[in-house]
Amino acid sequence: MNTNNSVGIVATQSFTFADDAPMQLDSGETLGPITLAYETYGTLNPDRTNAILILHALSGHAHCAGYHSSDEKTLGWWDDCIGPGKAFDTNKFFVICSNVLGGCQGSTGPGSINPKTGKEYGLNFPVITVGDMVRAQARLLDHLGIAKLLAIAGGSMGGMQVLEWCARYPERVCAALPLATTARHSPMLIAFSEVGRQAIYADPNWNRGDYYDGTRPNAGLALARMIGHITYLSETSMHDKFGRRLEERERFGFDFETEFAIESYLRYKGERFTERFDANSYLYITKAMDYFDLCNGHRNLAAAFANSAKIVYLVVSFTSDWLYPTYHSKELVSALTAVGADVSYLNIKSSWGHDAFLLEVETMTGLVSNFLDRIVNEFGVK
Amino acid sequence: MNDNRNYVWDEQINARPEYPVIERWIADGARVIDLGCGNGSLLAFLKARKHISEFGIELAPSGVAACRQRGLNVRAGRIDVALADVADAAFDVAICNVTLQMVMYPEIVLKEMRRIARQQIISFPNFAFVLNRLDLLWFGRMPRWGLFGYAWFNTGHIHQLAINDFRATSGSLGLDIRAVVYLGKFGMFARVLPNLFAQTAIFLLQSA
Amino acid sequence: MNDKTNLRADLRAVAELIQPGEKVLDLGCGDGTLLRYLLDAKQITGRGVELSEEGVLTCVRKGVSVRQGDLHEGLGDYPDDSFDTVILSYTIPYLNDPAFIMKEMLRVGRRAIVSFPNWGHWRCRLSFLLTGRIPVTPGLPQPWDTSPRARPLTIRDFGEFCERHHVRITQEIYLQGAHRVPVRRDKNLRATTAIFELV
Repeated sequence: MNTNNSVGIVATQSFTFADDAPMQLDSGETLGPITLAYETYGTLNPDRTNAILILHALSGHAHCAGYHSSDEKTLGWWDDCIGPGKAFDTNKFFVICSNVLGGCQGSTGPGSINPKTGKEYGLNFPVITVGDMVRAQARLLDHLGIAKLLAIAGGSMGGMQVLEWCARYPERVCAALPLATTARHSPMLIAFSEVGRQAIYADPNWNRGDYYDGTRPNAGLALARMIGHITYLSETSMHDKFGRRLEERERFGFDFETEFAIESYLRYKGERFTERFDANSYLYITKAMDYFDLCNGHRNLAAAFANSAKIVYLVVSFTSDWLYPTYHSKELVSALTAVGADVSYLNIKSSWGHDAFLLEVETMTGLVSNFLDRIVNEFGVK
Repeated sequence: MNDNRNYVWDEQINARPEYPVIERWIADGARVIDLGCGNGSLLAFLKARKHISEFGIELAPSGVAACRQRGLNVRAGRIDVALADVADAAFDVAICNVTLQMVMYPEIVLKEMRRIARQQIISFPNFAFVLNRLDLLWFGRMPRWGLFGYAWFNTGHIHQLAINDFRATSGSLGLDIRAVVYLGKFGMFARVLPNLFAQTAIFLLQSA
Repeated sequence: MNDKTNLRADLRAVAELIQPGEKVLDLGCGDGTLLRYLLDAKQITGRGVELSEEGVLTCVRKGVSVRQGDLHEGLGDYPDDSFDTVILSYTIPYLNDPAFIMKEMLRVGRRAIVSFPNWGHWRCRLSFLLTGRIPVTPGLPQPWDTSPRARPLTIRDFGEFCERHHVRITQEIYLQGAHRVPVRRDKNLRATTAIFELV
């Protein structure tokens, strides 16, 4: 375990709300009580003006920095960028990250116990939206006594939550960093979500979501994750990382064992995923992403940002990201420019595909820390 | 708007003064690629007279369409990039006729021409032409000779390329000059002082 | 931290045309030097557009708001008259379509400031006469095949260009190095840099 530039060993906390009055959801249904798992790093200053909320992507969780134990494997998912002296410098900022509503890593989701029945929700869990995730996070911030965030940041689905925050709570945000994301889930993104869900539905163990007492639909979930992983890479990064290399074999076996390195990688990633993720959560979260459309109910995207033009934005995309391609980010930048918002934008040259937002650490560190320095200056954080 | 940053090939340019010169250097039945082939008039000219087996690459969609109309084998695309679909030494001659000064990366064009063909034919307007020099000297405005009626703000000529510069560059790329023809109104003097008096230069090169 | 004396002479001349508190858009803002100076010295609201990743990263390091983009694509996003001044400093030779950019600048801003190195300078003319080569910037010879794409222009060219595109020149400043050149007939021979305010 490397404790240099690390927040060290941290623990996940939890906050429960809506036990008396359930929370209203975008679908019209209500939900309560709701628990959010969260972690914090660094110290909240006396003015309570140095808080940064980190928002995770589809498979992420509250543990984004440091370790849970002395085991190397418990490293947080964005530790490269969060910690003392890193992009999100915990010497300066109070960093918060929570597991999304509908998740399965400490927050209330379809795998949680429904207090009315004493059994897991399964498909009785209401369908949630990115807006619902954000509304729940706002409650967590109320609980932590943070009226206004210095910054919110996230990539992919995390970026969608960033944008949703800007649209719903513009007065609670100074600066926003939507990374490798989109203002609306495109048909292609919905298509990838759907094949992932179909993989789960097709697993007989799924049993229409009622599997918590028996065998879990791991084959379906693993396949969904494998499909997802393909979309997070680029052809170049697959070439560089795997090529046509064979794993543990000199020549073709003319059989259906795992042969190519890329096959073995995807299988490994799929299997590992089933150890920590709930198939029903995968369904609910991908559905929430599919419903995400910031434009919904507005004349155009610019109109959706009309009330959030005072926020300072840093939009980042990556050249080889074909899942959330550059032109999705450019569309965001255009809309923000049209409403006169202060928006900085960079399309970072990278061959890593969508995963680049986690991997281009050097460029991201310079860019984000410099941007945050400016925000600290402009908003007078002590 | 039609300027030569975005050619619209509706006017039928069917002959240029370089064509007869180029024709002399092409063997009957040769395999020829024309980079920046425009409306295909050069390829068609060579096909009729030298029975070449032709291929062309042209950026402007209107040019590609005009070529197809003539029944020429061409594809759309930039020429100042790696030409992945063209094999090494796939052609006898690679031609780039009055286009080199317009591309973003001329050195890539030259390197690719060296790779894909045994011989190279390249022509360009000589920016160092004496009337160009006098234009800037006397009138204090950017020279317009060789810009075909365009001016500094709408010309597609983004490199101020002169004969001496080209000789140095082709030499450093290992391309030997086999023949050169100078065109222009001061043809007599051009033979002695080409960089000063030639308006257009046509080079025949071969890999050393 | 931005000592005025450290600022390049042409940038200083541009900065002198900016009133305190203006809203300024700098097209092709490079490393953000001019915007940073204007933010500190004139308390402007500044925005920059820059094509290169390196430039954008440096701008962000300097605390300048900057958008990566191609001027030919991105200007359309800005509403009419959303800036007091739109600056095009030492960028016009690299534009593909200067006429279009000029029109957009005057749509987006109340006025435009354009500066460029003058290839009509006598040293440049002489060099071209004798060598047949145009220096990439007047005074700095570079080979044709490695130079960035540029459309050299002279003060006379730019004057004719403005006339042709109905752009009115309201101020003209000429520099030879760091010194002002009087606005006289020989400015095109003597000036190394020209700065124009346009409406």
